[in-house]
Amino acid sequence: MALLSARPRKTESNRRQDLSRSMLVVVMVLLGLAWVGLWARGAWVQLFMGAELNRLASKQYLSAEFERGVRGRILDRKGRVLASGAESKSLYARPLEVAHVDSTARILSRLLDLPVPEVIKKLTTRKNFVWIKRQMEDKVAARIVEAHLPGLYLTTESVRLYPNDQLAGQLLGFVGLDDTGLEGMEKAFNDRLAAKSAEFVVQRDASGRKLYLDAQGQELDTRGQDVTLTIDSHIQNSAEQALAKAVTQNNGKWGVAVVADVETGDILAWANFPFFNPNSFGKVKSGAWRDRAALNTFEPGSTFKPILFAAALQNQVITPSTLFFCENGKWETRGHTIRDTHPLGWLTARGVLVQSSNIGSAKIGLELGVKRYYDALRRLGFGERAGLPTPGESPGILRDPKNWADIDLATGAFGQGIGVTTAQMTRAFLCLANGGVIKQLRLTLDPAVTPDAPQRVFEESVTEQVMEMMTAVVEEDGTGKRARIPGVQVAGKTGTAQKAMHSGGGYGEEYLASFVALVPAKKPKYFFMLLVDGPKPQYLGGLVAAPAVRDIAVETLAYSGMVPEGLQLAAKAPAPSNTPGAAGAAATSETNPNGQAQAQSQAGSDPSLPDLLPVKPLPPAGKTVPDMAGLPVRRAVEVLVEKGIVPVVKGRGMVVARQKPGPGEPWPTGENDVFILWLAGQAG
Amino acid sequence: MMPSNTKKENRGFSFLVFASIFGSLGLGLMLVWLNIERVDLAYEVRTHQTELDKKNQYITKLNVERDNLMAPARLRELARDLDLGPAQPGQIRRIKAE
Repeated sequence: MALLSARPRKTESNRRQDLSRSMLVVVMVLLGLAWVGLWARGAWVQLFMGAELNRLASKQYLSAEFERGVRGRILDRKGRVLASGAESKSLYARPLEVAHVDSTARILSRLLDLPVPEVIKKLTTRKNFVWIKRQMEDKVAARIVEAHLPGLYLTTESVRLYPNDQLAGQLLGFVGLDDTGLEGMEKAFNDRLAAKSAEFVVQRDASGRKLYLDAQGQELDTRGQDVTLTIDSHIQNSAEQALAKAVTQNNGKWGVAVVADVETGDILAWANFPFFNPNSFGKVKSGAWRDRAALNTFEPGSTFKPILFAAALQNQVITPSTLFFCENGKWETRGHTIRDTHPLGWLTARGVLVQSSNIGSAKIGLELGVKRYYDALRRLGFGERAGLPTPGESPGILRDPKNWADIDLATGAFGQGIGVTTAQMTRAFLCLANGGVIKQLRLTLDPAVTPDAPQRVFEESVTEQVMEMMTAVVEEDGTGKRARIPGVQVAGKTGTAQKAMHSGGGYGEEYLASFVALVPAKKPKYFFMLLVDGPKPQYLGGLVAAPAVRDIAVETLAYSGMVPEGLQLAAKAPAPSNTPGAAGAAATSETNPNGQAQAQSQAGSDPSLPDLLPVKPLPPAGKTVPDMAGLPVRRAVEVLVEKGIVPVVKGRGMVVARQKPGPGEPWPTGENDVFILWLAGQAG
Repeated sequence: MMPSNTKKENRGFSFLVFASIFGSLGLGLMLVWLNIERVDLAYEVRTHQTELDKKNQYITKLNVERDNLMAPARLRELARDLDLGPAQPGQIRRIKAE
């Protein structure tokens, strides 16, 4: 019974347990299904929808930002900045948001120096966006921010700055508001200088602020590459100042000046006048942008004669002593008349160049012949671009030799009927200065120019003879003696080219005065060329251009430490060349193609030497030692150095207090003698 | 009654489960904290970046201003006011120091 009665209780318990188990299993199954469902959903979201959802999420909190770098700089050969990029603020308005147009316009007018009606017109336009002022100064932008004007916003733009203002303005060119080079080097090297863009992925927070959470894009260099020119700012400035003086003092229209390094072919100065300031390119007429040194083709006139002489010497048509009859200043040939400025009789070839005789040159040209002259000109690079990166460089004008009549050859011999550029002339004269080897000109150091293989055009002996003749043009009674530099021999050639009339009817009454020089003459280091268009009343190259070239040369030599010392000057001082009976008369004249003579006035004891800066007279250095007490130490040392004595200076100060040997004593002569200066105090 | 070995195994298993849960929670909190720090740092970097850009712009503009002041044409004018000019031939003496 006990067993019978216990059995149903167990069954009930078992039934409950079974029920619990079943419910537990059900719950577990349900949970398991839910779990599986979650995993399945998770897998679906991750594996199938993941990419799309990721894209949508990224769009929500990530954004792409484009950043533009700064335009590259233009530097001179010493690393001085000629052009640099910077950021500048520009002001724009959303006219619909502007609350009080009149008061806003008055404030803007005062801050931006704009007429009130103009500002009102902009603020009342129906457009949603209008520029008020672009690329303004920082302090003006700061005042606008302080004014808290509704509807007005500042944005950042790139601006190009030229710290030297007008220095090499036409050569550098300028960039437009969209940061694209429009002229000059800015245009030629736009691809290199232009800033690059980079795309950054940034995360935005709730308020839209951008956060750089990754380094994506940061490693990209968005800055444009720099360009280093061969120009030297100081030599460029010297050339510009001398050029400006030559053009303005002689009432010229425009002028160009070039300085080049003979050995390397580097262009050190490339000057144009009138000047152009690229900082304000929009305020001048487009004619002011013109880089005449690169674009203009001109008839060189007599400055071309050394090239003729080199070709004639190379082809053994002449020697320096070959005689030519210069027809006493007027030669009628082939139905035309060629004139010299003053009557000249028999002259050696050397004399023809020194006296710049057109008739003698024409005769040399006719003996040389068209083919040989043309070949020499082509080998020197005339008739083709000189290869400088200046935009729009002219190839000059050199006609086919088949079209040359005898008279064309005769006039071409003295630089008429041929169109050249300053770059071509520079290249040709550097060839003469480099012993007859022609080299490529360089205007940039970086990017580096791949040089052409140097080619020999003339024998070295030929160029030596031409250089000697060109030296005589300046150092003897030639037409270029206003380019003389005491203590330094200068080789040069003047030019006074009559200008062809625009109407095409021959030559007019205007001239192009020019001068080329190679300094020092023995082993040239620098080449100088200067042109002045339309000078009047003086128009001769020897009067207009030669003194300016001399000024540039002196400053260039001083800058490069090549100016002769006082002692060297004393040792090298040449005998006066204007002695009566010398090859030239007391008043020399320079040839011009029109046959008009213009005497070079000679004032003073040696008019060929332009005035130097005033030098105060030194105390006389007689047979005995002068009293130097009270003299500034610099003056005292100058006196002693002139006598070949280097004093021992003792004490501190600027004034000589006493000396040994004393005043009136004989000059020390022995090697062991010592000259002592004791210093004290300040110079009065 | 469960054998003692099984009990021990269950305790060990439970410990691992709880340790994993708390470990995951801890790592999760750390991840959140690191993200907050990262964003804070990004704000800071952004501020410094802006400041650096501004300073670089000042430097660029100051360099331009310096170059403008040192421009050869301006120096020439200043020199002229002081009666100075390029050395002419004969105005230079080179004295060798002993």
